[in-house]
Amino acid sequence: MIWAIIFGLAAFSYLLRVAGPLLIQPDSVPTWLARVLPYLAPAVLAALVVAGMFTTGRSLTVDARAVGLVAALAAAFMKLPALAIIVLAAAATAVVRLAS
Amino acid sequence: MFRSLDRVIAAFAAAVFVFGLTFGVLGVSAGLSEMQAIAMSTLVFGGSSQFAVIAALSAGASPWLAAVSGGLLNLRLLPLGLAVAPALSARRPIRALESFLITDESVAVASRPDGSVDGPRMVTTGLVVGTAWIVGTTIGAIGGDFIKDPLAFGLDAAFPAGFIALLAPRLREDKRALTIALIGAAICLAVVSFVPVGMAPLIASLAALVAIRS
Repeated sequence: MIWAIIFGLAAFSYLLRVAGPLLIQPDSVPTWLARVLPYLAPAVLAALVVAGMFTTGRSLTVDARAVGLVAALAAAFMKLPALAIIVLAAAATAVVRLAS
Repeated sequence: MFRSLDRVIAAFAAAVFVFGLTFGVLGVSAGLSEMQAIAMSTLVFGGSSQFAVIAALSAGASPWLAAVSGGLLNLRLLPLGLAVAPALSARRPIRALESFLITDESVAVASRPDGSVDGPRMVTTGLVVGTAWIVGTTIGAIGGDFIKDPLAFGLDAAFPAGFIALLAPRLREDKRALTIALIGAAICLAVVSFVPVGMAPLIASLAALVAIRS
C-alpha cells in the first residue's frame, strides 16, 4: 500500500512538472502567455515565502519565523549577499526559538 | 554573481540535507521501510509533499488521504513548470528529462533579474540539491535517531529567506514583478485558511495574470 502511494504520488508530481514544458513549445508561445510566464516564479515564490513564514498547516501563525523574515528583508534591503540573508534569517529564528 | 549563486545552492543543499535526514528518520518511524523512504525521496522528489504524506500516515489517515495531501503540496510545480518551459532544451525528450528537476529551489536559483530563466542552472541546482535530499534521506533512514531537530537551527526559515534573497535583485529593478509578488503573497495569506493545504501557492500564481496587459 505504501508502494502504491509512492508510485502514485511520484507519477502525479512528475505530470505536474512536465505539463508546462510539454505543452509550451519554446518557439511558438502566444504573446499574452509570453508576457505572463516571467511573472509566475515571483508570484509563486512570494506565496511560498509568506506560507513558509506565517502558516502552520492551514492556520496563520506569527512565531519565531516572523523575526527571521524581518531579518531577511532587512538584509535584502541592505543589499547583503544572498548567503548572508539566508544565514541571518535562520540565526534570528533559531535565537528567538531558543529564548522563548 | 555566479559565485554568489553557487553559495546559495550550497546553502539550500545543506538545509535540504538536514531535512532529508529528518525525513528519513520520521519516514521510518511512520512505517516506511528504509527502501521506501529512499525511493520516495528519489521518485517524488519533493520535501514538503513527502512530509505531508508521513504526517498523514502517522496521524492514522488512510493511505489514500495521505497520498492526496502529498499531491496537493506539489500543485505549485505546475506554474513553476510553465515558468521554466521556455528555458529548457528544444528537444522534447530532453525537456521531459529536465522537467524532473523542477523544484522550488531550482527555479528560484535559475530565475534571472530580467525575468528569464537559466535552463542549465535550473538543471545543475536540481541535481545538487536533489542529491543532498536523497543522500540525507538515506542516512536518516538507515542511521536512525542521531539528529537534532532542524527547527532548532532555524532551518525552516532558510528556504523563505533564500527565495527573498534570489527575488530581491529582480524586485528592485522590475516594479511590475514587485507588485505581482506582493499580490501573490496577499492571495496566499487570504486563502490559506480556506483551501486544502498546498492549494494556496497555486492560486497565488494567478497574480501573474496582471501582466497580460502590457
